[in-house]
Amino acid sequence: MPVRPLRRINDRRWTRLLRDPAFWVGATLVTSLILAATIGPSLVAHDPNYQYRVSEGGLDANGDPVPPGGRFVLGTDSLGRDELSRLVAGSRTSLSVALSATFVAAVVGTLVGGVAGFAGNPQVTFGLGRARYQIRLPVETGLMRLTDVVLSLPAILLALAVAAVVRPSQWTAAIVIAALLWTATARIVYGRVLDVKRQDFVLAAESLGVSPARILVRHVWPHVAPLVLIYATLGISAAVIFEATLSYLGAGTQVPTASWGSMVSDHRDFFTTQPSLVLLPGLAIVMTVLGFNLLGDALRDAFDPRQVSVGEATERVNATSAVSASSEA
Amino acid sequence: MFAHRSSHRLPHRRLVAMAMLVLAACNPSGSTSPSASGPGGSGGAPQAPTGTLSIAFLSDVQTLDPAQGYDVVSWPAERLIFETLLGYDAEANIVPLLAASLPEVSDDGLTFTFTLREGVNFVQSDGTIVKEMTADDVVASLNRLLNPDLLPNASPVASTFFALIEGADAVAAGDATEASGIEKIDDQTVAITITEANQTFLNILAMPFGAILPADSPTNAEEVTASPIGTGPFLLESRESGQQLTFVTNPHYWNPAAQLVAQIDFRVGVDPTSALQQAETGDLDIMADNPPAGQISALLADDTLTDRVFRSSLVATQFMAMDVSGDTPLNNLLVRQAIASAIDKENITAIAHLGQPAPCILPPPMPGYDPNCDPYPYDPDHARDLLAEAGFADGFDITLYTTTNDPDPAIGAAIQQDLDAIGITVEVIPQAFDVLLGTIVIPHEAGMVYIGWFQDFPDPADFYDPILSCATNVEGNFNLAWYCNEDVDALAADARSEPDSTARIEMYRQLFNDVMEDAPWVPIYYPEQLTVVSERVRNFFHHPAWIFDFGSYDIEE
Amino acid sequence: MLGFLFRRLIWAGVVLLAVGSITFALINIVPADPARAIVGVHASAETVARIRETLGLNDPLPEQLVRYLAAAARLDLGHSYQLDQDVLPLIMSRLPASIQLALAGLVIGLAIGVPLGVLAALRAGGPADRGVALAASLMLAAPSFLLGYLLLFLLAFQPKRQFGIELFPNGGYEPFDLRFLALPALTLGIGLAAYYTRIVRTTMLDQLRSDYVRTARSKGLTERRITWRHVFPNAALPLLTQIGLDLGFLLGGIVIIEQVFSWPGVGRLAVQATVTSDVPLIMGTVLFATLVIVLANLAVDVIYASLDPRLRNA
Repeated sequence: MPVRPLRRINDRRWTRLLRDPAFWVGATLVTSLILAATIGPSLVAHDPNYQYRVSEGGLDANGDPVPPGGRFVLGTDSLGRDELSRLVAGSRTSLSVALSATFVAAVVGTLVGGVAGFAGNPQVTFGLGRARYQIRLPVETGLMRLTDVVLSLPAILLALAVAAVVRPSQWTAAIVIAALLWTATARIVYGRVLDVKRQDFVLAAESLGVSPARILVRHVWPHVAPLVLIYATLGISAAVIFEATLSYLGAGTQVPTASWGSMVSDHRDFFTTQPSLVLLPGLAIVMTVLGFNLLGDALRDAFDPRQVSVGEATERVNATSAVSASSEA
Repeated sequence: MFAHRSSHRLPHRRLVAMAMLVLAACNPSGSTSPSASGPGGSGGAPQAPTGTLSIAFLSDVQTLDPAQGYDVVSWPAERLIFETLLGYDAEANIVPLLAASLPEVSDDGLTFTFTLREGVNFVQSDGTIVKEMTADDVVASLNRLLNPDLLPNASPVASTFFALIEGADAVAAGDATEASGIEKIDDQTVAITITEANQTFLNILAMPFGAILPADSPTNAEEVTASPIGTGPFLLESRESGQQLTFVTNPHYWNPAAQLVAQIDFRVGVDPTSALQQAETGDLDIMADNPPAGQISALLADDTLTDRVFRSSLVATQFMAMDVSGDTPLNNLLVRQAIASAIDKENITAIAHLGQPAPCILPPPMPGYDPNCDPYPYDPDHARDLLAEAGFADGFDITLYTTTNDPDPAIGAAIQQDLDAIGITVEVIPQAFDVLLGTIVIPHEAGMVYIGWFQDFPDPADFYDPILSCATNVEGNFNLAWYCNEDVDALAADARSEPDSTARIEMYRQLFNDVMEDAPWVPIYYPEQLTVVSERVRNFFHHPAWIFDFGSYDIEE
Repeated sequence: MLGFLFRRLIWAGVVLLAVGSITFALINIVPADPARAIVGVHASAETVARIRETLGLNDPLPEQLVRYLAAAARLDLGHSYQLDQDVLPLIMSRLPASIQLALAGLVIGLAIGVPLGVLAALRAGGPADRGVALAASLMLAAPSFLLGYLLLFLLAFQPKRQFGIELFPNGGYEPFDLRFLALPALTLGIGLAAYYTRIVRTTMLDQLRSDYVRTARSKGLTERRITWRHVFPNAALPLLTQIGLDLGFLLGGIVIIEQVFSWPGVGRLAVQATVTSDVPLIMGTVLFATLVIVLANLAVDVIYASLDPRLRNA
């Protein structure tokens, strides 16, 4: 595969980013979410878990939720809890699960991919008594094979399987998400580290005797970091949907903790009488995921337009197609 | 029987009471035609039955073996294929079914002699007659029920309800293969003797457990479920596990006038939301489960559906059982009384949408119901005082298990909040019904359990013997409070055998008041059944004994 | 080629062994009482003890693991005690419904996604491109359970209930019946389309930028000929690769949609197994799904290697 020269980091990327409307829309949505999750709970008027009784006006005389207006800005849910407070609390659940899972996944993925790419399969010499042995430690192969194994796992089914043996919660969901998500980052980082390793400036540094650690930090990391950030951002939106889906299926966040996914599934039957109870959490999920997707896409367009992830498959095709096209003409 | 969905393969000694609903049937179309279990039919030439009735259930049929099955789906299925000696008419009176008439009872009240109906045939699934029913089959069926080596388990009622039969204990111990109390007098006559006087024995025989199978039936429930051979109005044509059971009319049934439809489809695994939608649009004929709580107000207010919506009180109680004899603070009477006073039953009943708050254990339609019984009205301040008096002013932690069926988790959350207000921290653990049943039969496993109990027969004994008596305070049984009060138990024993029904009912009234003083349960509300049927269904009503009597509904083609 | 195939098969086997070990760990190490986890919570203590003996759960773990993996290799995926059926036949009985859904969803996803992706690539940077990108982002952001529920309510229930018109049936299932398949497949297809649009766009753009296109242009071939005779077929292959490699994504979608529409497939079986803590069934399903994914990956690798001999040394 021909080596493409990497551009040095410069200001044009930032300019491109700031000019992208997707960036601004995404950033706004994400910021709103973060605000809602952090300071939101202290701003809302009600405790999201407090069930207002019939006698307290939380449910009407039939035991049904109260429509929006007055004391409850967005109405109450099937248990008489303030819907607005629940939505805000749900943002905290979604964000905490998604951020923690993605952070762990990013760290693990970077380590795995970075070590695999940088260390390769080193030859190690060690001595036993007077004999000298040389073995090749299959670090790169082993780590990437491990990545392949985990990538072969069916994500949702595995999450369901875990929920069958342990009591599910938003934290089991976070653990499962992290355990599956790191592979995406690992592959990306691996590919990028391999690219960087072959660059002239790295080869030069190595031949000058610069320590591997310094090479990693000063030369490799700057080219890897943006990728990690991009895929972490996209990973967050995947984590949000995954957590919502698991909660919807009953294998994620449990009562009474608010989660948008379980809010949708809990109120399916109230759709005819109070559709907002389904639509509002659904909208919250859509807005959150959209926000992180737009942000991640904008970051990718600005910092890594080559779009490494699909590149691998494309490279295979390019080689074969070059022959056919030129022969046609 | 526990309320709601199927209970698959219960362990030994589990007591099952079948739901019988003495209810005020709201049936605007008026007619209550005799159920298929009644003898004879309307006059006129019997026509070939036509039409297919489709019914949706949330849970699958667990088994078709009458000795094993006992849940709200398996029983209706069994009742289409098999029959018992006795049945119930539309007013919940016991009537002869496979018996030609009501039994002769000996003077000591211990021996019941049944003359069997003649001309009843066992028919297998493909419609061929296997043989005619005789006393041998009756004897064999009852002994089969008592057989401890049935697969996969012995029958849950072999050592409880049916242990009444003389010689049943010998069979259970393996010392005999037949009970001495079941005697064939001649080909058409059977005598059953019980060990002590019991006013509910005929009701016990009317439960599907008492169904008559051919004498050489396999002892393996799986085989019986695969090829059931019974005397009933329907045959099992096919079964797709988890999807559907198809029943077709039995061409050789002894009472053709009672056969109204040609085919009945049990669609299983259908959630109530979908079932309701399909019943409303006519894609389904009957939904067997209650609609989801969120749809109920709209349903009741909808004018276009009025004559297709049937609402009846059930003879049942939704309650919260507390572990009386375990290691938690619940073993303190004051604590339990505090909890009982802290639950806002009006609120919970509103959340459930269908029912009445329950101050005491027996529901209103049940004989022995005491309208003046209300020992623990809602009073959180008083509850806090009681708790402090018991030494738990700072509260404590406890678990509450519920099913995952709507609206139970919501009710669990409401109870959690009510108890949080007096300082008790409740961890709500919803479990699928099958799973829950396995958890709660382990003594002291659950701190508190929220569940419902349907009456098995219109007799107050059924609300004590299987679920509160000292005899059931062992693993595998449904005494969820693990409660045993010897004095109350003695009163129950007297009441069981008291022949004077007025005195008996008074004894039960007293008994349940005594039980409430011990507060092993907090009764929460008395539930109702709400059923939506399609426009094509005729003769629909809620049966006082079986909730649904699918064999007696008709369909317009 | 044979050597390559052999190496790939070995690797597939390794992956399956690894996943089998993971499910083994989930069955036997995580729960407090593996015997009870297998039999189900409502079995009697005697049954649990009996099962413990029969299944050899008192044997040392490595021995159990070997037995478990050997059984899986023989396609014995265990027995569901709660449903009283063997796991693999149960999965196979539900498989046709899932396959119909998957295929129909794929067809719809490609039918919507490919044209949109091509359009976006050909008009890259312009308003059409942005429009498609936005639509795709929105569809990707919408969870399938929400979309499915809305479609069911608006297109199936409401028309019949309010107006008496049956646009689509209200749930239900008949094999190979398009009426019942329509809404679930549409829900799945929309989600897939959003995903495939981006891939098609990216691969088309990659192709359009490459040297052979420049060469072809300089040789005077029309844009249309270049696009459809050369670029598109070359873009199609990575797309198909991506579909094969993303089978896990498809499976996940199927699980959710089957739950929303009560579609009697493997996904719904898995959710029911989770809810009832039917451990053997859910673990068997995980193994089965992994097998499908591994086979798909293998197929993709083999197809590529047969097309490009240089890849066979990988």
